[in-house]
Amino acid sequence: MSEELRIGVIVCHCGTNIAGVLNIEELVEFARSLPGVAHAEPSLYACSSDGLQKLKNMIKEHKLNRAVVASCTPRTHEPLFRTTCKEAGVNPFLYEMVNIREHCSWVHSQEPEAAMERAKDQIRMGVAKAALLEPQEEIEAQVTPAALVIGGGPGGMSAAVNLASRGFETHLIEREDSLGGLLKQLHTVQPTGQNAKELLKKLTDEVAAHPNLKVHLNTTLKELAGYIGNFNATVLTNGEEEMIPVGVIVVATGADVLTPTGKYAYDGEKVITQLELEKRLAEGSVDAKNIVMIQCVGAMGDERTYCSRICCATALKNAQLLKEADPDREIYILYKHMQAYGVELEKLYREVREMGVVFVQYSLERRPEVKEGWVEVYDESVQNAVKIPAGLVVLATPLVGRSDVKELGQILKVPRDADGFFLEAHVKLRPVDFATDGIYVCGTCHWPKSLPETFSQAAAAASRASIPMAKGKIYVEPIISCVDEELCIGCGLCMRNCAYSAIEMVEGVARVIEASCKGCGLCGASCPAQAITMRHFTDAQLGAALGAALEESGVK
Amino acid sequence: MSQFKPRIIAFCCNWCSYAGADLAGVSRMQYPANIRDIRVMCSARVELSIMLEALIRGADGVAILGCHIGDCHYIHGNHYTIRKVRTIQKLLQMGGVNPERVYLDWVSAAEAARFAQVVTDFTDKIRSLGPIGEAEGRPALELKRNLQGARVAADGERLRWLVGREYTLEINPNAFGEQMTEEKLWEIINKTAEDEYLRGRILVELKEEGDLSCRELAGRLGVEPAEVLKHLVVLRRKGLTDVSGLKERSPVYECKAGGLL
Repeated sequence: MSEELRIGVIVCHCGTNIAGVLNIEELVEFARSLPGVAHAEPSLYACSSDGLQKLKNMIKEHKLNRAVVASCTPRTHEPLFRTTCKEAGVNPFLYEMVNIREHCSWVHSQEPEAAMERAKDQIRMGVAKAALLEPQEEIEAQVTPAALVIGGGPGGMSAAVNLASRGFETHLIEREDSLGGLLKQLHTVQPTGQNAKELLKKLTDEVAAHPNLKVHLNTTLKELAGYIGNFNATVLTNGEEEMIPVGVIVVATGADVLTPTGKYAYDGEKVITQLELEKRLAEGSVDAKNIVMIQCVGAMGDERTYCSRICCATALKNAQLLKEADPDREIYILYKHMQAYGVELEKLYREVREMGVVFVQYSLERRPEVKEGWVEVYDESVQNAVKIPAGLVVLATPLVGRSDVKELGQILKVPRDADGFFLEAHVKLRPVDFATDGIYVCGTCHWPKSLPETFSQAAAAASRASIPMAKGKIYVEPIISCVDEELCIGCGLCMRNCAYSAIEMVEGVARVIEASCKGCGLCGASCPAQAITMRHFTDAQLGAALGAALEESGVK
Repeated sequence: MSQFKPRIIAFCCNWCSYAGADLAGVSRMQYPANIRDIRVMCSARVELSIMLEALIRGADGVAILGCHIGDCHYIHGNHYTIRKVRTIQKLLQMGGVNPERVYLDWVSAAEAARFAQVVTDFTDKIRSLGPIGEAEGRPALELKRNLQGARVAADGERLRWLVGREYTLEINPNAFGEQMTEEKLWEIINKTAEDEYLRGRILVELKEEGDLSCRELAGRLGVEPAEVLKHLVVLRRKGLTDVSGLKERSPVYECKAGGLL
C-alpha cells in the first residue's frame, strides 16, 4: 500500500469496568509507542454517542486510515464501531477490536499487574493485525419477505400473528396436532386469572382468521440451509418433506414441565404437580380439605440452580381459587423464597395471605417430608418442626429445557445454556436475537417466563424479525474466502469439504460463490496448494497477531 | 523455574469458545492471565503452520478451542480441527517437542466456568512442563530447526491434502467405492508425516549449514544414511535440492527450496 499507515487507537474506560483494574493512561501511552499508530486517546465510554463522535473526530482530525478500539467484545460491539468508521470515511473492515473487558479486566481483576501485561499484548496484537487489514466491500443480498415461526404455543402464535399483521407471509409450524402448547393444559392463567380455554380460543381464532398466516400442524423442522434473508427450511409433515423459503425465523418451542418422579412421594394421585392440579381445577374434581403445596421441587438448588419464575405465582393463583371455592379449606404453601415480584403478584400474595393461606419457609438442609396423610416440615421462622395434615400435596416443579432442544439447536446452529434453554446473543443489547443473524427467540424455550412476559417477548421478536424483511435487502459480511486462480491446482478438495456448497469448479479452477460463503476458513486451511485466502483472517494477519503476542520471546 | 511465566496462545472460535470466554468475563470468573487469545471464525481455520509458527516464535503452549462436536456453527468444521491437531502432535513428537503443548478442547457459548477451567488447567499443565525448549532438553537451535522442518511438512501439498481429505474419506467411500477406516487413514497420514517431516528437516539443515553430504546429514539428524538418501532422491526430483559438488568423493547437496522455508 502506497498510503502511509495511520492507525488510531481508543482505549475505553467503560466506567470502572475496565479502568477499575487497568491503568488506561498507561495503555494509551503504550498504544502511542506502537508502530503505525498515529494517535491514541482514552474514552470514558467508547460506545456512547459522545464516544462514537470522538472516534469520528479522531479519524478526521488525525487523518487516520485504520482504527482500533480496545474495549469489550467484538461479538456485541464490533458492528457499532464499524458503522462509525464507515461514517467517518474509513472502510468498516479497516477496524479492529481488542477485548480488554470480558477477556481481561473482568477475568483478571485479582491480578492487575498480569492483567496490564495481557492488555498491552492484546492491544499490540490488535494494532499489528489492523496494520495488515484490507478494505472489503459489503455484499448486498435480497431478503425473502416470509417468516417461519417454530412452535405453536402462545409465544409462537402471538409472534406469527404479529408478523402476518405486518403483511409478511408467515408459516407457523407445530409438532402436535393442535395449537396451544402448554396453554392447552392450564385452567386459568396468572396474574389475571383469565380462563385458559378462552385465551387459547382467542389466540387460535386470530391465527385461523389471518390471510397471511399458514399453519402447519404435525410438522417439525428437519433441515435448515442458507442465511439471513435467504433461508431454506425443510419441514417434515406426517413423513412428507416440504421446502419453505423464508427470510427470518422465530424460535418459540416452549419448555417441558418437570415430572418429579421419585421426589416427595410423587404418585400423580395424592401427590401431584401444579400442572396436574390445573386439570383437576378445570374438572372441579378437587375435594381435599387439607392441601399442602411445596415450592421449588427440583429447582433453586434442588438438582437445578435456577428459579423457574412462574411457580410461586401459579401456587398463589391456585391457592386463591381453592380457597374461594371452599373457604373452610386449610391450605399451606411451603416455600424457600416467595417470588411474588412486581405490582400484580405482590397484590395477589397479600390477598392470598389475607384469605388465610399459611406460608411456611423451609430450607434445603431440612426439606419437607411427605408422609401418608400429612407433611412434616421444619419451619425456619419459628425454628421448629411442624406436622401438617394433607389430603392432597401439590408440588411446584420448574419448567425445564425441552428434551429435543439439542437437536433443534444443532439444526438452527444456535446455542443452549447448561439447563437446555436457548441462549440469546446478548442479555441486554440483543435480548431476542440469536448470535446467528436472522434467527430470533421468544417464550419459555429461552427461559421460564409468565404469559405477559412471553407475549412481550413475542412482539419484540416479531418486531426484530421484520426489520430485514421491511428493508428488503441485507448486507452480508464480506469475510469470505477467495481463490488465487494462478495457484489453484483444481483438486476440488475445497468444493468437497465446504458445508455450504459455496465453492464450485469452473474450467478446472475453484470459484467462491460469495453469497453462500459463511467465512469459516476451512477451505483455506486445507487447500493443498495454499491458493485460498480467508479474508479478514489471512495468514499474514494471524501471523502478525502471533508475532505481536510473542514479541521479545523465541525458542530459548 | 519459579519465575517461569508460560506464554500461551489460544485460538478461539467466534461462535462457541470466544462467546464462552465472554460469558466467563460477564460472570467475573478468574483464570490465569498468561493466555493471549486470537479470535477466528472457526477452529478449522487454524492450520498446522499457524500452530507451528506460534511455537517457533516462543509460545510455550497453543490451545485450540472450538465448539463441541455436533454444535459447530459451520456444521462439521471441528471434525477437521481434530485431525489437524492429531497431525500436529505427531509432527511435534518427531521434532522432540512435547505434543501436549498443543491442546484441543471444546467450550460452548454457555460454558463460562468450563472456559475458565480449561484455561486454568492448560496453564497449569504448561507450567508443569516448563518453558519450550528448555524443558525438552534439546539445544534451542536444533529445536527451532525441527519446528521449521515440521512447518515445511505442514505446508506441503501431500500432508495438507491428506489431512484435509481425511474426514470425508472416513464418512464416505472413496472414488473406488472402498470405505477407509479411521485407523487405516491415520496410518497413512502417520507415515506421510514421518516422510515429510524428515524431508523438511533435511531442507532446513541444508539451508542453515550450507552444502552437506548424505552421510553428514544422517549424522546431524540421527537417521540412517539410507533413509536420508531415499528422501534426497525425492527432493532432488522435485527440484528442492541438487548436487552442488563433491566432498571426499561423496556428492554434497544444496538447498533449492528457499521460498518454502
